[in-house]
This record gives sequence, C-alpha cells and structure tokens, in this order.
Amino acid sequence: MREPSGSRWAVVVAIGVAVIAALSGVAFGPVSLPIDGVVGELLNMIPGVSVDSGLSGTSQAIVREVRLPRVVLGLLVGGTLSLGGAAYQGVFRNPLADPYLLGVAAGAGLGATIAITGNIGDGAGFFDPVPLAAFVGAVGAVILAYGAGAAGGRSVASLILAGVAVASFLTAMQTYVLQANSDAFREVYAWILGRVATSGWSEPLLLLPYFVLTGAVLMRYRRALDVLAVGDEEAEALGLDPRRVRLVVVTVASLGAAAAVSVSGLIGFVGIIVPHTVRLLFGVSYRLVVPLSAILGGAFMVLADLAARTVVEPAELPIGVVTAFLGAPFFILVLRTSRREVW
Amino acid sequence: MDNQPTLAVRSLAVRYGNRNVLADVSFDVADGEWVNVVGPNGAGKTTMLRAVLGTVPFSGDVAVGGATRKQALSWATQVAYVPQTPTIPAGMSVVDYIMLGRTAHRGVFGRERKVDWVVVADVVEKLSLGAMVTRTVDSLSGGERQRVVLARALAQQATMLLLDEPTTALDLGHQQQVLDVVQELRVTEGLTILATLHDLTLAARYGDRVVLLAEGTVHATGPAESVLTVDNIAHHFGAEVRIIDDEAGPIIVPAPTSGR
Repeated sequence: MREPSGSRWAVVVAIGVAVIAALSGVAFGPVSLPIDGVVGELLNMIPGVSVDSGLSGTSQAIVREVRLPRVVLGLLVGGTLSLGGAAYQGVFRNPLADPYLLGVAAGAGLGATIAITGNIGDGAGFFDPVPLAAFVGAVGAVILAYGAGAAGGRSVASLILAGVAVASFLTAMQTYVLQANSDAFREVYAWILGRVATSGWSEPLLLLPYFVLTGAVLMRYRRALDVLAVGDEEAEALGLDPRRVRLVVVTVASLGAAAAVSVSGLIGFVGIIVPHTVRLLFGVSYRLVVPLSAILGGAFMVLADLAARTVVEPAELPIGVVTAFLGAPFFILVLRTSRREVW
Repeated sequence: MDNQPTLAVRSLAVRYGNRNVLADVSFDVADGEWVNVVGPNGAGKTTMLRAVLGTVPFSGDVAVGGATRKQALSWATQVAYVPQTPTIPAGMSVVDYIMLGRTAHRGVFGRERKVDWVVVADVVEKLSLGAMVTRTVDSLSGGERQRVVLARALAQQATMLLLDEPTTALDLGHQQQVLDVVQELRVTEGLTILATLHDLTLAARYGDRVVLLAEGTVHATGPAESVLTVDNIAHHFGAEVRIIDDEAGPIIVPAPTSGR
C-alpha cells in the first residue's frame, strides 16, 4: 500500500492553470500584447537570459512595471486568502470559516477607516498609513478574539463566538467613525471593495514574506489538519495537541490574511470558495488542499482581476464584486456536478 | 517486575465543576487481559475510560506499563482508543483514516514513511478491509465503520486498547462480529483490553473479568459469575433479571415481574 499517485498530477495541472492565468493577466488589458512577446519578455527578466521579445519599449515597460507586478500581487493575495480559508476551515472544523471569522476583515476595516478619515497623510515614509492601519486592526482583532475565546476553555465553539462578538464590536466602531466623517464614505467604501492595483513592485514585495510564511507553515501542518478532522479528543488520543496546532495555524493564517487585506482591501469569498472547490475536485485531505488552494487561489484572483479591468474598460470593477460574481456561479456548478461529499 | 499489570489505576477521581463523577476508583488490568466495565447510565464509565486515556483532568494515578502519565499526548503509542461515537470526517477515504493512527509514530510534521504504509496495509488485511480502502468512511455501514475505527486504533501499534461501548448501534450479528475480531486480535497481537459494555451478557461472555462501576466508584470486580448477580443487578441497575448459567458465562435476561 502506498500514497495514491494522483496527487502529483493534480499539483502539476494546478500550476499549469496558474501559469496560463498569469500569462493571460500580463498579455490582456487596455493594450493587448502578443503572448509570445510576453513570454520572451518574462524570460528576459531571468538574470542571464536574453531573447528578442519583439516588444516595443513601451510594451516592455507595461509588462515589467505595470502588469507583472499586478499579476504577482493577484497570485499572492489569492493564494494567501485561500490558504487562510483552508486553514481556518480545518482548525475550526467549519465549512464557513475563514480568517474573517475572528475579525480580520472587521479589524482591517476599522483600521483603514480610521486612517482614511483621520487623513494621516499619504506616504508617511515608506509605508502608506492605510494598509499599515488595516494590518494592525486585523491582527489586533484576532488577538482580541483569540484571547476572549481562550478564556472559555479554548473550545472551537467559544472561539467562533468570541470572533463573532469581536467582529460585531469592531464593525460597530467602524460604522460610528464613518458616520462622524461621512465625507470619507466613498473612499472607505472603495477600499473595502478591494483591488489588486499596484504602483510598481512595492505591494507584491510587501506581501511576499507573509505568503511564504503562511504557505511554509501550513505545508508543515497539513497532516495535522487531517488529524484535527476527527475532533479534539480523538486527535489528542492519536498523539496530537489540538490547541497548539490551532494556535500556530490561526496565527500564521491570520497574519497572512491581515497582510493580504491590508494591501488589497476586503476581498471576500475567495477563502471559502477556493478550498471547497479543491475539496470537491480532488478530495478532502489537506495534503492536497493546502498546496492546491495556494496555487488555484492565486490563479482565480488573477483571472478575477483580469475580468475586473477588462469588462468595463477603461473603468475598473472592484475586484470583490468580480470574485463573487464569477465565483459563485462557478462554485454552484462544481457543487452540483461533483459527486463527492466533502463536508 | 514480570507481574506488573499493564494498567494500574489507583484512587482515580474526576470532578466536573463541584460534582464528583468518579471517586477512589482503583483496579488493575493484567498483561493480555480483557476487562469489561459495566454499570448503569451515568455511572462514569466513559469518564473513567477518558481519564485512563488522559483526555480529562483527574487526580490519582494511572500507570501504563509502570509509567505514570497525565496526558494522552505522550502515550498514543501505548494506548489506543475507540470512542463510542467516533467523529467521522466527511469525504475522508478509509486508507487516509487508518493512516491517522500513525500520527504519534511519524510526528506532527512527518510524512508517511514506508513503515507507516506497511503497518496500514497489514491492518487492512487483518480486518479484511481490502475491498473498501478507497471508499470514504462516511459511506460505510455501521459494522464496516466500527471495523475501520478499530483499524485506526490498531495502526497505533499500542499494547493497550480502550473500547468505549464498541457494540452500540450495531445489530446482534455485528456486535458479535466486532467482539470476535477484538478477541482474535487480542490473541494474535497480544493486546490488553479495557472495554465498557452496555450488554451484560456480552460483558460476561467476552473477556476475563468484569468491573462494576456505579455512582462513580467500583462496587465489585471479578469473574462475571461473581459480579453479575441478581442482587448486584437489582441494586445498581434497578432491574429485575434472571440469570441462566451457561458454560461460557452467565446469560442475563430481563424478567420484570410487572411485565405481565
């Protein structure tokens, strides 16, 4: 008896999908570029490689400085949010869990709202204050929820309830701040709806370490997530400390999600839909759910962004609208056609 | 120290809030022995098993193989547990589920090694699960499911097996089938078994000794004939029974006088 052999192929196929999505993301837009030229130009970015891409100087700049950073950010945001969702669903044994459950969204929303309405000024040094405030708000919310939930014996249910309470509280505060500064309404709302717009490489580079951290830790813990599926008591009887696993997994997944929403706004739904699609297509074992969520989550976000910036050209749709608008029907299709029982 | 019991429970007590669920529970299970714990609902049978397992806080001593431990974590390679109502994860395949039993052997971060697959294959063969390894656990019938949960426990390669009401929700045939499998494994694998059982006749028929637990404490220990008496059952279960003596152990049948 040995490991089922289908898993390696699933990863290869997923990477293929992500590469196609990324190439499309770079090639299509207000100015469409030839795919071969795009591939050539991307190869040129590898040190030591020099091919003739046939692209003009402007097109080269579009690829290198505009589209590629945006595509990379999409891959990172989608991957991080999907990883976070998969991880939360695992440790909370709840199909609707994602980092927003413990207040990541509410905390980030409050932080961003305070930063925007407080008009703390643009580009205070290297950091833009809005993402920084969103990050602090998101991390603070999770710490608050975890602290409150842990006092109740750290059971899954008490954590979820504490998260709901903290999220409601922070949302109420955000509403209050916004009410008092109604002139900032449009700006705050636009931030909430989300975007993967970039100014060069600073955003992707900011998010990269968080994505790497979340991905690396969850890859280490994916078998532990499978064990947690039998509940805390049985997991303990099998030799796994469920509370420790939950603390580590929630910490990295929340950090990743906080970083993602701080640069991209509150893009919802991805953390729920991508891991479930993976489960429906490839089975429930986290051995595959973790890597495939990261890869396909990124691909999904890049495609959603492509739609967001091409459907109503030259205007852009908020990406949060597109992820749900494209994602929901697709998910229902998968749900109806899959014969697997995954939850 | 050859005669050291595999399991030694001394002055075990468990409190939930300010309620004593178990108080001063002491008994031994010898190496290779099968002991059944019986008692009325709420006597503390499951709590006792969980305390032995180490998943509820307790006072007193529980020693397995001479070593005293307080937590389940550190001895998953010595004690395996089959819960009364196992949590069955939706969509998990039988082979993945049995592999969970290898958790303590491969470590939290470890990949499945060759030895893990060998053990799983071995367990699958012993319990004749070959035909269902690729199916999902939630698609199995009650009897098949119980064998798969037993397989996961066996994959832990522990010397001691704790069974919590292994026959609940099974029909007569499957009840016997599961207990027969346990008996066979006990012999072939050299397992020591501590089980809670609802059915007194089954408790008398399988295993070596019976522990009668009532109101959180041990009221009698010994061979089935001496523990499962008409008086004991009337007193602790509030049930009127007749006992039919059979070579293989007493048969307990309900005989309420108000019945007719």
